Amino acid sequence: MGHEHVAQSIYLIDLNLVVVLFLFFVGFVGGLVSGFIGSGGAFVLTPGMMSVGVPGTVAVASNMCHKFPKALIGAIKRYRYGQVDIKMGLIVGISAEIGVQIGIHIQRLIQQTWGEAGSNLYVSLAFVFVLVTVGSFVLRDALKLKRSGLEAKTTKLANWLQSINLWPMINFKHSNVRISLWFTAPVGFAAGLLAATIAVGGFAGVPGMIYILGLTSIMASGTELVVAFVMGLGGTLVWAFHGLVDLRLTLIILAGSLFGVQLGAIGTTYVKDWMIKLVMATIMLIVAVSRGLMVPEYLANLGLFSLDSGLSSLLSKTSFLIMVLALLIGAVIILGAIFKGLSADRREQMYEAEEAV
Amino acid sequence: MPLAGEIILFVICIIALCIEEQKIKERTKMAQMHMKKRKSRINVMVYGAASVALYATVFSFSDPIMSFIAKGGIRALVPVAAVFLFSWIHGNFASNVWTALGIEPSRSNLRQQAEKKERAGKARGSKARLRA
Repeated sequence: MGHEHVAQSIYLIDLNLVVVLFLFFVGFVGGLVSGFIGSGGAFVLTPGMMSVGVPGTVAVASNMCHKFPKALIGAIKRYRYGQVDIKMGLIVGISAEIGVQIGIHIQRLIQQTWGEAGSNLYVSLAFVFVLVTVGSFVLRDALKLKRSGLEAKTTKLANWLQSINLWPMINFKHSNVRISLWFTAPVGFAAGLLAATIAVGGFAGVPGMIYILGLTSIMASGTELVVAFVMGLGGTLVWAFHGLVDLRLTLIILAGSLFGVQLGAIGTTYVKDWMIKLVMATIMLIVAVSRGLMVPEYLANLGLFSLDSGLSSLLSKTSFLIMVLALLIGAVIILGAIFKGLSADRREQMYEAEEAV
Repeated sequence: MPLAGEIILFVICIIALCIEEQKIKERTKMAQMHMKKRKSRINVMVYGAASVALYATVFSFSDPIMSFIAKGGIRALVPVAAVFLFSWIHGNFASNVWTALGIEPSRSNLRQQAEKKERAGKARGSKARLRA
């Protein structure tokens, strides 16, 4: 697609009040979820933008361009709360960049071999497999912690990996972890690979940092914002180099997401470790259902069986609605936790003031 | 006996002073909170106005800006620089809006988290020493 052609398609987008409010709202909800669990808010934006007539590549580029400043603001906010390990974020982020490049190469290879339908099928199957496997594990852990009321412990795997003295050992002071680069790099690599495939690397990065590297959920979700910043900045420079960023769309989404990401970050100070895991797992599993619904259509596109066009359209619409629902459910849980925490905090303050009088 | 009376009086005075000091502390805390809210309201207006001005500029000149960015190449730095500027101005605006509305992080929870981190750090230090 030539630059002029893209520019023309950008001009065709009618930015009326409804579209602006829709993008602002989705940006806000996406930001809220990202500020709370470190990622996962952006995946609805690309299909959301495409649903109002934005060309696919422009939607991906503009979404990416809003993602890294949002992650930066969220990371700064959470760093002030002592919930970010910058060193870990940068190391995981750089290895994630390598994962992204290899992920793009795999995608191209699949596209050349099996075409667009094959690529879509690969993306959907990766979505379903990763999200169901990781999501159900995280959900089980969150529910176990909720029921027991105990603090989350470092996993046996993380303790074992930390005990292996393999050069170069890196000391992560903020997260109280000393671990070899050979164990941090694969986590970043997997996050990058997933980011290039399903656009949400955090669904591998955050659980990886918790269960493999031994960070707490709060620390892992805060650090993931640094990873998202590193990956987002690199990706944006590439897209912008090809002139595909629609700055107007980016700024509208950013307007909403900067409110959301900061509220999400505040929310992490009111909840226990398991709540972050619960929100992440809920979103992952609902999104897995959404992508699962698209599998029959892609199989039909490959000519493996025939699918009625009405049913195909119904499946894709239901899939999108379920994806939106995943984000909304996550947002409702976060807002509920913030509201509950704020009320308890205010009651405590009033009680202290009365005691003092 | 007069000495005992004086001691009791002295203790009572100390207690009264402590209570008074506590009240002063509470009042200072309230005054600080009030000041913080006032400051955030002023910031909301300043950053809000700056944010509106930036958005108005971009959307008023969206056609030339978009055609410039769409050419790509070295112009890629323009959207990147723009989002950095917007995120600083609009980010500060959003942050102050939440503060002015009284939506702030839980200080007690943050304190607990910091203490937990410190304890974990100490435990890790002693484990490392034992291993050495």
